[in-house]
Amino acid sequence: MGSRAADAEGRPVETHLLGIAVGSELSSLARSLARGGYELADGTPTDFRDWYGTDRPELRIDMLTRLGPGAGLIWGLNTGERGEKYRIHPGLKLGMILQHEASPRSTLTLQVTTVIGGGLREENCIADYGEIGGVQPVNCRLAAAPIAPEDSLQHTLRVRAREASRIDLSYRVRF
Amino acid sequence: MRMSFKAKLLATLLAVVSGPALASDFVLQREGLATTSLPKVQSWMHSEIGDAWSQGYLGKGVTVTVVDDFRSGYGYSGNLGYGQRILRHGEWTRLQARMIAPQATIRSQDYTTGRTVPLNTGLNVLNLSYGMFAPTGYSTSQIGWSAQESSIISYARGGRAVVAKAAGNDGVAVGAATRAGMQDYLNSALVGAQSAIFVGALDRNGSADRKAALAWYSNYAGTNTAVQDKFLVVGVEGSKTGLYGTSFAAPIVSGYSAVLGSKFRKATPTQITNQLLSTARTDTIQGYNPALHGRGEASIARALAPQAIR
Repeated sequence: MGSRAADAEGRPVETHLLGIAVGSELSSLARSLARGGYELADGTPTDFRDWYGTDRPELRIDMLTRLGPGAGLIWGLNTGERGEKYRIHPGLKLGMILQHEASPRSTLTLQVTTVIGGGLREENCIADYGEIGGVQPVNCRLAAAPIAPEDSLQHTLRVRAREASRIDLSYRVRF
Repeated sequence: MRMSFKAKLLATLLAVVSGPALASDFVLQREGLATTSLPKVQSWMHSEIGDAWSQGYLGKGVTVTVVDDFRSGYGYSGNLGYGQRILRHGEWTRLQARMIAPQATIRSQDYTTGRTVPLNTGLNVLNLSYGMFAPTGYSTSQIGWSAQESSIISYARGGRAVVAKAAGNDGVAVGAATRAGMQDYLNSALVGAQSAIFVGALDRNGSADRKAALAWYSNYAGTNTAVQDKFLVVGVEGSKTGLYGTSFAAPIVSGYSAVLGSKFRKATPTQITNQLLSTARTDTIQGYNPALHGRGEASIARALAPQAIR
């Protein structure tokens, strides 16, 4: 699928849809946090799915605009995602792709992309420990662990995707 | 006329055995447990402690002082997961507490010293797996305590240390006379103390699906509500360890107290005590009855958890 526009010199500028995907690396991370739970002091169960589940997983759209022979602009959008105790911010993907015909049968491709925004941020909980600990902020997942509530906060996640910035170099031979 | 005299007290260890081994018959072994060993859930422990260990501190910053036998020539055969060994009574209870709270500072005091038990900075937990027996009929005010028991009783009444006291193995209510007409006056002196916990034994670790029963030998809370309010039970899996008796129940509560204290670093001994008591489970005990089981089975998982969270 593509669309045509024209550049300043009237040459056609083609834009292609590279892909649409549901979910992302950070979305998968949020799903992994949703596994488990614990009981409160009176036995009431908590389920992490209530905090780290979502009905609207992140949507990723990647586009390619051809700038000329062997060059293109990669761009795209991550819609972000939200659950009760986390948020994945929307992100803008930008990059370049350069191709060089090294020989009649081989192609060298360089692709560089980065995502602006798009990180995962976990929210803390407020826990009431009663007489022994009072009311205080705590990492939601660690509220019932034998770690001091104030120390649990350092385990609250602030994560960028591992592939937020990426360089790919490939050499393809056709035979 | 009020009589005041020192009743001759007999310190008695609260392990249930057919007879401790004499050193002449066996070689008393060293514990052999490196303090840097990583915690491992053993079969005699409640599964909750394993869940609690998955991350976090395990007694760090807390001192557990075990007042027990560390000198006699008598040993008990058992296995807490590091192989069959013969250790003195205090070496077993100390090892148990250390295995529950591996990062706690563990101190030992032989119970025959009679000296004041020193407290460390931070939270202190005292483990007492022994009783002080004399013929029944005296009031606790007639007992001439040594500096050791005086300090322990003072700490418990003043809320200066968590005192985990083995309830006893005579199958009677705490504070009542045994069939031999003797009474544990240390139990009696700790009744009503704000940071004392009496620890009885269940025949195994309980769960909602597989409830436990009071061990055949264990003392129980009785009709005194002041005892019921401070009485907990824990599983003593003697069939797995070879160690029976409320002696081996108290160190579990001592360990739990240390784990709690390392999470709630500003909590007082009384707050730690109350947290264990208020979060005890009754749904894991067959025929739960406060006159038998006090507040119920100690639950470290629930004691660590918040009351509410949003």
